[in-house]
Order: sequence, then structure tokens, then C-alpha cells
Amino acid sequence: MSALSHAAAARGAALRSWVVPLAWGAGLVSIGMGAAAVTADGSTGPSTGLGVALSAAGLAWLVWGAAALAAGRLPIPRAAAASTLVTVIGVAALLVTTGGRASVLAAAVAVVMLLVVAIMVIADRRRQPGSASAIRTVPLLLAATVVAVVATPALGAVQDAALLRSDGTVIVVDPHAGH
Amino acid sequence: MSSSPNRLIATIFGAVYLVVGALGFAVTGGVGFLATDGGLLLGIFAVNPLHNIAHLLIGAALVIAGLSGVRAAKTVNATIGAAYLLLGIVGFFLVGTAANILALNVPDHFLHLASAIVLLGVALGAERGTRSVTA
Repeated sequence: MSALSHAAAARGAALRSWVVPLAWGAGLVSIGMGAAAVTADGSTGPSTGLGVALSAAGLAWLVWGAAALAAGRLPIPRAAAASTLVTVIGVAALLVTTGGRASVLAAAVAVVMLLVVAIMVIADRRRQPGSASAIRTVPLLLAATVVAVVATPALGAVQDAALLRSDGTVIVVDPHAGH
Repeated sequence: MSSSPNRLIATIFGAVYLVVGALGFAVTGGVGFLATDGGLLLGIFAVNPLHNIAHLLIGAALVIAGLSGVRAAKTVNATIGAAYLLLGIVGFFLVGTAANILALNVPDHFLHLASAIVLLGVALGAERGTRSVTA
């Protein structure tokens, strides 16, 4: 491997160390929002359908990230970049159809992470192609921390929003029920 | 071992989870085995005795795999990472319900999510020449 292609492979590995955790974070928040829409009190047909679709999209991002790590390069980059836009539209549609019972914070986090993923995927396509390479551990640790810091409150907000009734009051769950 | 990211991560994370599991018993003296409201480890992480045992088992599996070899470390990292990723979603819907038998709270979710990304990421993306053994 030449020095030039070695450097390109190293840049690709560093980029994948960030883009995969971000894709997983966006996927988890999408699955959470979708699941909340399906299970929420007074869920309607359109919001249930969108919830299922958004959960499927989130699952696809988890699989895509795993495939990127296993392959050593970002797979189907054009489709992935286009899919970020489709997922963003899905998140926005869910906000509209659930009448304020989907978390705006979670939606914002998902959209920002998806946009960063799209930018990184497009940037990876434009750089000099390098051979497949293993990711770096230190950038992965850093990315995992950042994504966990951002995704955890977003997922918490998803759960809080799912417990809202259509009149804005909160469903109180008794943790000792059934005892 | 120092040249293998999978063995290194498995051993370090395993040691941390073993310590966390052992320390957890110091704050769960009067806590029920499946209590949904646990004691606070380090003042933030909610744990109950079942949660402590889970940490000890996970820590032991990671340390043993990390000390054994690259294939074992990759397999255990991938398995535990995937389980934590699943818990990252399901766990949020268990909080505040009787099904929260691990006494999970938000800081727990943060730790589990970060662990999931690192363990799964290293298992799938590092040392691509070595295939993990799948059941």
C-alpha cells in the first residue's frame, strides 16, 4: 500500500469511527420515537403506521452501521445519504401526526445526527478512495461518549412524551402495581 | 494483548464492571432483589442486587474473554454490546414500571449506551482480519 492510499485509509477509518456511532445514535432515537408513537395513549392509525416505519428506518441505520464496520468502508453511500433525508422527513411527519405527543428534543437530536451522518457520507465519497481498514479505538471511545451524552436525554424525552395523554396530563405508572 | 483492541477493551471494561458490581453491594443492603427503586452507586447509578449480579457476570465474561484471545474477546464484545444496545431502547420504556427489575435510571442508560457503542464498534470494526465465533 502506498503512503497516499495508507493516509486515505487512515482518514476513512477515523471518519467511520464517528459516522457509525452517530448512525447508531440516530437509529436508536428513531426506534424510540417510533415505538413511543405505537404505544402512546390514543395513538391513531397514521401515527401508528409512521411509528412502525420510523422504527424500521432506525433498525436499518443500526444494520448499516454494523455493515460499515464489518466491511471496513461505508456501504451504499448514495442510498445512505438519501436515506438520511427520508428518515428526517419521517421524524418531521411523526411530530405532525402525533399532535405534540412526540418529543421535539428527540426529533431535533435525531435530525442533527442524521444531517451529520449525511455530510460525513458525502465527504467520504469525495475523498480519495482508500482500501478497507479497521477503525481506531480512541476516536471510537470519544464518539461513543458524545453520542451517549446526546442520545440518552433524547431517549428519556421520548419516554416522557409517550406517557403524555392527549389532554396534556401525564399517565402515572405505579411501579408497585401487581405486587 | 496490548496490540489487540478487542482484548484490551474487553479486559478494561470487564475489570470496570467487576468493580462496579462488587461496589454495588455496598449500596444495596436494604434493597429488594428485584426492587424497581435501587440504591445509588457513586450517588448517581441506580442498582439493585440483580443489577449487581448482572454486572459481575458481564465483567467476568469480558475479563475471561479478554485474557483468553482475540476471537473470544470479539465474540463476547459483540454479544454484550448488542445486548446493551437492545437495553438502550427497551430500558427507557421499563423505567417507572413494575418490569424495571434492574432498577434502571437515566445515568444507567448513558453507561449502557456508551458501553454498547464501544463494545460493538470494536468487535465489528477493529481487527477485521479475525472473524468472531458466532453461536
